[in-house]
Amino acid sequence: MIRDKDTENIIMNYNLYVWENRFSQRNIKAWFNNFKGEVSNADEEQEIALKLLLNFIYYNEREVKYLCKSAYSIFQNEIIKEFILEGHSIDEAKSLFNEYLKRYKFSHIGRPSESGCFILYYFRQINGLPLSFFLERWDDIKENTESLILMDDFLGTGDTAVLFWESSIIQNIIKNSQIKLYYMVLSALEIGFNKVKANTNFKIICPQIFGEEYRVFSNSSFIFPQEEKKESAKKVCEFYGNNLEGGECALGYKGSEALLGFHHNIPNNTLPVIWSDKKGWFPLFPRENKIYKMGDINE
Amino acid sequence: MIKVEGFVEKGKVLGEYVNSTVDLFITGISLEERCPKGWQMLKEKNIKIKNKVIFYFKEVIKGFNQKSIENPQKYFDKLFDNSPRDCKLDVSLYDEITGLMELEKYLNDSFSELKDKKVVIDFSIMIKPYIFILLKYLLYVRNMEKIYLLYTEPASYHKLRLKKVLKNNNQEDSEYFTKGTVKIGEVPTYSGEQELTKKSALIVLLGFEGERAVQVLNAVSPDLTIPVNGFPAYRPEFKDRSILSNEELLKDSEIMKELMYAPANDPFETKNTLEEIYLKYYENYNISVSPLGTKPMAIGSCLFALEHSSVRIIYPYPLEYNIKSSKGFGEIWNYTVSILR
Amino acid sequence: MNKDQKMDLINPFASFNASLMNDDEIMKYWVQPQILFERQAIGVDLTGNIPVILMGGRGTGKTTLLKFMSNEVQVKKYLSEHKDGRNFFKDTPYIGVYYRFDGPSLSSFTDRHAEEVIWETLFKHYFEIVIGQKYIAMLLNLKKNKCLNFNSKSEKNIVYKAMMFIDTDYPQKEEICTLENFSKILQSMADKIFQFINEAPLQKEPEFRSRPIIPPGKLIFGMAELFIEEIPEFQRKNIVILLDEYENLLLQQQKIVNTLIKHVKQPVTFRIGARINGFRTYDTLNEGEFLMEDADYRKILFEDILLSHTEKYKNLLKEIARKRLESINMFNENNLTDIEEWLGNFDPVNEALEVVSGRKVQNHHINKYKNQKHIQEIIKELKKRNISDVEIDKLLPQLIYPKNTLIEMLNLLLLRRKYSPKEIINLFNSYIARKKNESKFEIYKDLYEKNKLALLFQLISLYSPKKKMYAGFDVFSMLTSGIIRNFLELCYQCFNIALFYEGEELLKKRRISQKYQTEGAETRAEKFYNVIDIIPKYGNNIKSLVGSLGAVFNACHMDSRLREPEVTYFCVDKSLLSEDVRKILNTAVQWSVLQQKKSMKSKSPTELLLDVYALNHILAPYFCISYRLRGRIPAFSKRDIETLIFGNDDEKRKTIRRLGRWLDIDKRQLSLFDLIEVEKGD
Repeated sequence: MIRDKDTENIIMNYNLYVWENRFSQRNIKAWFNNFKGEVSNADEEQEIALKLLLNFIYYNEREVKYLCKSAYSIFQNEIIKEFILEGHSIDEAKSLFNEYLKRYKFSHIGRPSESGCFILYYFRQINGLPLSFFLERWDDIKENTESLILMDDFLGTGDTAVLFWESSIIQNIIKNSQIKLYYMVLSALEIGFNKVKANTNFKIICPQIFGEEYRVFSNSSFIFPQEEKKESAKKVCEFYGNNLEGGECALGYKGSEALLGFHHNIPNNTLPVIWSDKKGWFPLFPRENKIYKMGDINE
Repeated sequence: MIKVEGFVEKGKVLGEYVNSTVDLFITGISLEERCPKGWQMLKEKNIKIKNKVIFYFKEVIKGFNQKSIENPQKYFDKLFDNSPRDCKLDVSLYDEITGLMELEKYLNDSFSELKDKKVVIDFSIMIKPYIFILLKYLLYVRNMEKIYLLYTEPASYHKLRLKKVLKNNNQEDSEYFTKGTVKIGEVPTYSGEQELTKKSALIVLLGFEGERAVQVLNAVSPDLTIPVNGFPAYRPEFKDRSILSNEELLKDSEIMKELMYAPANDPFETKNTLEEIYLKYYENYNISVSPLGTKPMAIGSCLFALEHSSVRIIYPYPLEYNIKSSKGFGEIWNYTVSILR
Repeated sequence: MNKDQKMDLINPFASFNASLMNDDEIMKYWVQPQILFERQAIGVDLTGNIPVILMGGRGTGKTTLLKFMSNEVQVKKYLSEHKDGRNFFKDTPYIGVYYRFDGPSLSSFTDRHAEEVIWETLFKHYFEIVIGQKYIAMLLNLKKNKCLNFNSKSEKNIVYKAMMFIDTDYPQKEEICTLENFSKILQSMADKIFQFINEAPLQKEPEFRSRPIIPPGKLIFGMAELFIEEIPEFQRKNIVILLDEYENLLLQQQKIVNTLIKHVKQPVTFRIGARINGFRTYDTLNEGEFLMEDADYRKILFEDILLSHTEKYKNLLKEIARKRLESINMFNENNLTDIEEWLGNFDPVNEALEVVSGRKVQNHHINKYKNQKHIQEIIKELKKRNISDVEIDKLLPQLIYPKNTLIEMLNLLLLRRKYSPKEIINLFNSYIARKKNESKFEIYKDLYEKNKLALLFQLISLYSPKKKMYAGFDVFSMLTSGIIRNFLELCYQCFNIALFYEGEELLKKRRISQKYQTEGAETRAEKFYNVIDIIPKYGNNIKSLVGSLGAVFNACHMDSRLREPEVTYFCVDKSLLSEDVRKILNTAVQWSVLQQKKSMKSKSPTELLLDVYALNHILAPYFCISYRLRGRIPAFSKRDIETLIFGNDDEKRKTIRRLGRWLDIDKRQLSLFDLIEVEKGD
């Protein structure tokens, strides 16, 4: 396993300062021991695992809350700029924003028990917004509602957002009103961001976008910049991922190849070797499983 | 008493000075690739610039000489399309007061009144004490009411190898931001106003040089320390790199528990974070801020200190700056700062 | 263990910087350092009349002590032990007023635009205001906690007379009346100073126009006298002004404060906390006048005192650690508050056995040992003397001692020192047979005891890549070099590692393994080394020197004849050095990278006393050297030191090689070039 004292120290520091002290060395060792050398030798596989681990972007609880704040301030900035372009001063624009906020409604994408809804709670709390700004039911949307802001924690492939756009709820809103529709996510993969932009009229608000270089095995991957190492790493992850979650999800949902997670959950766009717990695989960052009906969409 | 407002624009400039004229453009020279990007963007948008002031830092010229570029002066003249009416200030990177005095001479000669002029400053490559003193001068002495600031992100800082960041080792020549320390001092004109009966609080905007944060902490010995991490950062992984670089500071659990955040590219949100801290503590604490994070965050702390004259800015003055500490260039940000008196 | 449980295992040493502690924390973690308070016998009375300078490196405990003596902490402590503050004054011989000199703030009291004399006047004025404010805060604190009861008339008198000190013509001084109002006036004067400091850089010829300006000493001594006049409780009490971080003052500023110390007036006295070499000058403002030790002040050198009372120092460390451990429920409830139990103590003999065989050796058969590396060295030495293989086979069993590898190493050493095998065997046998009446026993015992640790280092170098362990309470105490914070940092690091690797198992084991302790010590040493270059002005030079010294010391540990065991210090005649080098050495001492020890005689009887510098023992794990003060390298020439500080890598290498040449270093054991790499930190 990890033999280098420096690396052990690095992992220890990551655990203490980034991963909220979630782990003991035993957990980490157990996860590394998943890589038994079924593709190349165990040492090489564990080196790859180490690289994945140290490039895994984890948003701890405080950061998730701050992303909610950040998203809101980007949203605020966008609206204020529109007022400034109309000729108002910054101060005036801010006052106008506060006024118009009363005509905005916030809600979530996805089902009530999913993470979008969970995030709404943080969002409301951290930004000090009253409950009345949040939709309880879709028919809460009144005539004077100017904008609808739909929240989610993560935009992966964009399938959820596009599906939601095409749903009758949204199509009715579009047909019967001039409501501006915003899609507010804490973070997004660029590929999904572009898909939603191309296939919907959602205005997307997102404080953190993961470009193509953050897809672990992309051509511009900064995690594995060398082709040869990238290929062997991909083989390893694909092999184990395939065993764990099956073909389409071997490298994350629909090949997303993401390497990130949140305090409250790990999106399935992330490589399954990080989160899967099937067939005796020890997950380092387990995913809180959702129980779906057949055919339901994941992220 | 002033109040500072502002907002952020990514990549473009707002209508109010597109199709208009910029009266004064201020920037400096550097070996960094992002150095001319702000100027180039204004040119591309056909914004007419009447006057330019460029700080020709001696140390950068010397650095260029070492790279055997024949005539660095000419090189930068060409880069910035300098004409005879433009002003080149031959000053040292390490002496912001003299830099300011030279600027003042030029401004006195060239402008009877600066207050209502459109002034744009590209601060991408300027060191923080320079930025601070420049803004103080323009806003307080020259009574300006609006300033436009441009900032070009680097594509990356030098290759921060993980082990070196975390081991805090001596870095190779190209892989450092600063070297050594001259002193830990108050930025001139930002000494604040201490109430002698209050305790002291130190807000540290975290950067990648954790040892400098510890130096500041030891120099100030505050009763309360609040670290602020740049988040969201320019790149997602930077948020962790800065935390881990500051391990020595954050290992104190009393300090770690106070950790707060401000976006690395947004001075106004940074200012808001500082305001939040200020409102919580100002009654019982004298507040000091040490801007060791990104330059936009430093601007945020500057604007905050301009609004609250009791706040002081502490800076660890290095023996040497790396005049090429970044690679490439990323997004260009436009910050419009308005002052209400 | 679930995540929640794990979260409760907090590192008890995660907060340890006294400068950052509030009054409650100072009180909570306070352990009275008896060694310091017992100094009355030699005239150093921490609470008495004569000013005392407390000198020590960062982390030695100066700030903790000074803060503890402040009225704020003393009142809190008193109230925690008594029903109320009524008898506070009766039980207290002094009232302490704490102030820390803030470096960044003081460095602003200078600007090219204004003349030096203006800044000097401003500083005097400022210092009076500061202490005046501290006095007011002290009175209000005592009154609020009912330790003091003075009526409004006394208050008014104090304020009025204090205003008279400031300015006899101050308008409406009769109406100021209360301490709060007086405080506001002082604050407004301070505000004018800050305004000047802020505006001066933007003005051509700044002038400080605000008046009045308080003459030096007027409030500092004057107000104290007023307290005695107006408040009976203050009679026969000292007012101790506790000034911390004196080294932050600029030269002229120190002269100003030195003048006050020199001309101190009762009931005021001073306690000054300063780093070693933190006094830029002992001069006062008056020509030819300076502070004289014993006449004007007494001095306490923290490290020296702490280190010279080993048992008391260790007890102090244990107590300090106990308070930390007690503050965490998990440790407290399970009675895990004895740091000595956590760290244990380890015998070098066992460590040596571990190195050689990983376990206690059972089998005495000679062939088992011939392959061991240190035995091979013995055989090599015997062969050098042209002793036949047959004879070697006869001698070897008499030279080896499986129970104690260090004894075998000693025999090897004696061979290298040209003792005959017969002589060695005689000495050895006498020791093993415990023939205490024989001189041979004493000789061998002396050699063994003196060289035990040094021999362990040599043994480990033969069994590379095995490393020296730095573990055990006693060893940790020595690594601290008399700096208490080092101990807390060592504990922090090893608990960090142990908690990560063992989690709740650690609580069952009640002991941190040697391995984790060593890793903690190495981590601490590396961090200490890595930040040397950020020392203002001379950081890079000091780091260069330390890196080279570490390489030389390490090489000396490998000297096959151990001419100097455990080399960790060097001597130099400072008077011959250039000013730059002296400044570098002084700064290194000020920052506790080097520690200056008592001057000693050169090995040559005709030479003068030399200045002695030891490497801070906290660096021992980084350079794999001893943590004791035993051996030294010969006196450096001026040129050697300059090369080690200013030279390029080539020049340094040559110098280190030359310095090492006087030693017989086996190049197979260690390459000096490898040692230079240590300096670079890779």
